[in-house]
Amino acid sequence: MFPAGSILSEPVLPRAAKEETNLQIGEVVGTVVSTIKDARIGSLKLQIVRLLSERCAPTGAYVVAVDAVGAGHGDVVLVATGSSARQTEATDGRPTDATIMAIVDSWDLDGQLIYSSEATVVGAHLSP
Amino acid sequence: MKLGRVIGRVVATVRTHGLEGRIFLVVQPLDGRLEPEGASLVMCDVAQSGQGDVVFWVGGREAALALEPFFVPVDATVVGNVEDGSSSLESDRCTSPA
Repeated sequence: MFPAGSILSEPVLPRAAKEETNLQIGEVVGTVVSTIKDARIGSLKLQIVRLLSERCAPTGAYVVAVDAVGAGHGDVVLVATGSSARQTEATDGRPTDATIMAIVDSWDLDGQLIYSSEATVVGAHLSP
Repeated sequence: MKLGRVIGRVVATVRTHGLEGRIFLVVQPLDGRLEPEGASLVMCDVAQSGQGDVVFWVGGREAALALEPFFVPVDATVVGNVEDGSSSLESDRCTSPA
């Protein structure tokens, strides 16, 4: 039995590892060309995605992701990671853990427009 | 499953097959006391959640199982709205079983 209030002062269970699997916003900043690779990667297009915070600022993290939607350089995209990344027709059964699954037109926070593909509103960090 | 608060919405016209019509929300994860915990992320929504709502969500591959079709590249989904905001951690009812 735990003493009253002990849960509030000290977590009983260790804190869970940082959640790595989450749908993230990023900007396509490059393309990966690879000749020697696993055969099941095949001709999938690999993009370098610079991840962005909800305020449109780069987080400093990059991910190489399979492109399932035909995104281009400078596009802001959504990246699914983990085993969910294999759940497209293009990536089914293939050794990938990051997939570009949508191209972002815009997003808002608390009613304020943060990004629009027409013009960046808050973030001034995106490639021209 | 975890708690979160809806803080925004993402519009994306071009998306993979199976995600037509799906709503994407920006969600800030919360701890048991409804304090922000970790970075915000984008999620699909099946609970008709709106701006400011406290919700619970599932991450990982299971997130796609809340959708139909479920074979879609989604790794976070809002699956319900929290109606009672009290936390059992701070409740008098949080007593150890006798």
